[in-house]
Amino acid sequence: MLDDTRKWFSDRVGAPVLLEKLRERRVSGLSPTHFVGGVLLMLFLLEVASGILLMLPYRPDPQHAHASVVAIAGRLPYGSLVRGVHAWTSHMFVAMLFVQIATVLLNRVYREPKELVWWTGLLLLVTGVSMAFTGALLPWSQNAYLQARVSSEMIGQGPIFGPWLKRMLRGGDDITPWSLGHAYGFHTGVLPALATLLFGFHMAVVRRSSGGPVEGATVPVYPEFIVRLAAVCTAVLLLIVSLATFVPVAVGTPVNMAQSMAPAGGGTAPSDVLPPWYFLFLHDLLRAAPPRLLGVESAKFVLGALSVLALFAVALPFIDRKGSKITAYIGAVLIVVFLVLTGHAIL
Amino acid sequence: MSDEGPKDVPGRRDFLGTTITGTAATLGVVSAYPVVRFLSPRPDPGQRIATAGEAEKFLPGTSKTVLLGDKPVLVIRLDDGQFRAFSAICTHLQCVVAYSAQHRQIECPCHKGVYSLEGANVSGPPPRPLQSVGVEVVNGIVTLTEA
Repeated sequence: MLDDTRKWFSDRVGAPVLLEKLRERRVSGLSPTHFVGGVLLMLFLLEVASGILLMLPYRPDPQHAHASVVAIAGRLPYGSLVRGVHAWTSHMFVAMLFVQIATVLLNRVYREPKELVWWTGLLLLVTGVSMAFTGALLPWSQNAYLQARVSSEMIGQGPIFGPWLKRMLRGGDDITPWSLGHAYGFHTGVLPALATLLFGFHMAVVRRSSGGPVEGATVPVYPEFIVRLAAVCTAVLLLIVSLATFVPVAVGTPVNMAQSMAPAGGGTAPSDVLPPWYFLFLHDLLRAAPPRLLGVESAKFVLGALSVLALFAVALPFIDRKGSKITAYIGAVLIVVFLVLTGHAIL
Repeated sequence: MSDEGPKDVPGRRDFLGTTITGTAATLGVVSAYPVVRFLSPRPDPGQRIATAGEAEKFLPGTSKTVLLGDKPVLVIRLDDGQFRAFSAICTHLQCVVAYSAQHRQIECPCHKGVYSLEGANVSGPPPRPLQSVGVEVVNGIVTLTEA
């Protein structure tokens, strides 16, 4: 009966043909790094699915946004689970993007003919982090509000397009109630669409640039690779569901623009406002810097240095052409610096 | 399917191709401009005046943050009864500062910037003093005006 149904479908859909094609295709190995891309795709799909669920009860206006998130987290059946999965998956997504970028950097697989793979990968990183940031503002909590002020102002300090980009993200000159609509539109419309296009293009160029008989590519995609990828994805999914179940994500206090962090009438010093873990290194740098560095306001200086670093990353396929491994060493140093600063900030 | 014209004259296809590409590019730019402007509106001038309640009820050694237009303003009543008002936007990265009654200073929660009660940047990363805001008591009401 089941076999008949399967045959009926495969006669019309041609699934065995697809599997045959995947059987013929090869990957170069089955080391942990081979699965990061597939896990990233799974995480993205999970974000889209849980995000669509969250869109339904969420109310994207400053009057109701916070209360609706409180209701999702506290009152809706499994609301806390869906929200937890969405939040934890976003952390996992950014972490896996970092792992992927670090692997590519150390193995120098950004070189010809993989330039487009590298660039679309970098754009995916920017898009992923932007999604995390626009999403963080949606509960319209005081902490997220202050974070949004600081992070958009940081973008505003960037060279050339900075001020314009800041205004576009904020929906004006300042973070106002209008900014919530902008964050919501970018988070649920613009950025996911962009990410989908980038994923598609990225995978297409990955296939194209590694097409043909690649030396050492001996492992069939199906069943060897796909089956293992499914197992890895299941393990990651299990981890996310466990985190979402046992480590609740706080909603925070609602935004009150006519009040800063200190309680009314003063009394205690304002509490720390911390960015997500992957920007803690930047937070610490900004906090430790003196008002001016080499005659430039330190925030501008730090952002300028980061822009140079970003430009270096983009130009990498042109810089690293010959057999020299110097850029891989620079990459390794940067990765270590990032890990040490982040570790220092957390501890 | 070949061009009708002689070989040395640019063909009809080339002309049409250039025209179509040019038109598409022009339309693209023309329609992108309103989109970009729509997304980044010019600042709203907003209110130029705001109030921070009755002066009588504003105790010395306390503070309030109120909105002047879209911008938060920190109003402090000093121990001697004087009022001071500053833009509450930190000059480092636009976080919102607060009065610390404990330390008798203005502090930023984001990167630990510290300002004196005169608004001068004292320690931490802020590069400039806080912008001051006009404050006076009019008919017993603490009134703020953009300086």
